[in-house]
Amino acid sequence: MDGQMKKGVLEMCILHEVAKKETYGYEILDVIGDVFPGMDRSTVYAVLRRLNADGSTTVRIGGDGSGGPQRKYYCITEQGRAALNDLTAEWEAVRGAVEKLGVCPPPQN
Amino acid sequence: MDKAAYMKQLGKLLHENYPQQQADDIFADYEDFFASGLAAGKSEQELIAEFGPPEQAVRELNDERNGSRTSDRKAVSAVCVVLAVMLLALAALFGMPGVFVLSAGFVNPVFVAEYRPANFWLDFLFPLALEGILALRLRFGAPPKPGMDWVPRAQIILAIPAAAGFGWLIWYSFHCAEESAGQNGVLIALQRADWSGKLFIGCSLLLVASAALFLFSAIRGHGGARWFLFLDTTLLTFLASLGAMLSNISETYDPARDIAACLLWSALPNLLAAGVFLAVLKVCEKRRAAAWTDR
Repeated sequence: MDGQMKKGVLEMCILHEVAKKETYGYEILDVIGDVFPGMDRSTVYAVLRRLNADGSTTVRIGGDGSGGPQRKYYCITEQGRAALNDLTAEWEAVRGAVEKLGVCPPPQN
Repeated sequence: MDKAAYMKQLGKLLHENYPQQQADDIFADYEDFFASGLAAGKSEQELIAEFGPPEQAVRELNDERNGSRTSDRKAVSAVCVVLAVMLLALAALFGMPGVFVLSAGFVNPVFVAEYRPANFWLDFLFPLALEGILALRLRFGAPPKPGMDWVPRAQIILAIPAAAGFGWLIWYSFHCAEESAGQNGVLIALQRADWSGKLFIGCSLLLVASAALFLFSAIRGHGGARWFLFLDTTLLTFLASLGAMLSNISETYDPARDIAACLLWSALPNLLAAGVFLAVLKVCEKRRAAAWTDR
């Protein structure tokens, strides 16, 4: 997957997943990888890692309380939430414009 | 490729690109992904297909870290090629023996003037600058082009018989000292001699081919042969100074002393350059590790 737009969308989806609940690396890769079948999960991991380095997420190392293995759990920070809001607003604006032009029809409700 | 091979390749690439701590961290994440995936009932092959090749994984990580895109990387590669060509042209202009061997008349003693002290700095600066350009190209340039992985290996294989040829050349220097003391142009006589002259020319051709292959593979982004640059330039300058010495034999000729001088003057600048380069690399790595506060 190449291009800044796809990276931005990917960033938004990852932040959304982490914002929903505290989650671990493989789970994020799996959920995102399933909805973007053409994309390597290494790409998702690279973006997740950068988000964490930027401070949009933080990492807690621990178990899930059921005696499972010790894992890196990712949770969203305030900065991450703000970034998610910006990205979502941007996405809405882009989608609105594309729909208005009729490039792709709006979803049927 | 199975999981073990995948992780081995990934670990190797990570250690080439990241400080120890981060390389280990990323590696541990991938170990965890595999463990989680296998626990979820997927096969190793399925997981490897989902992750994509390790080369791609490391490239994605680098791009996210540097904020650079493919088009930028291609531009960096092109600039590095231009810089390397300019450097070669410049060195040829200044008459560095090693580069003359590489670029122009490879063993023409007329081209290879007496070994001047100024050449020490040229022989020191040339490999250093070239290695610097190649390091930049490897780090920030486009990913290595697939295929032709044999080039670095072929380069090393070529250098072995060339180095063996030097053994013979050194022997000949001792031998001809007795026969032709007081004569000039031993090298020309040597080149005219049938098999021995061909051996000398063959040996230099091998060395030039080896250096050319090295440059070709490095410019294409293969890191493997990069560390042989200093050896290549050492051998080339040694060949050039030996050639210069043999074509200027006088009464004061003392093979042991003169060959030792040739060795010293070719090995010293290149070794020094290699040392400086390694030191700079280490400092860069330390600074990178300190600046990069990813956990």
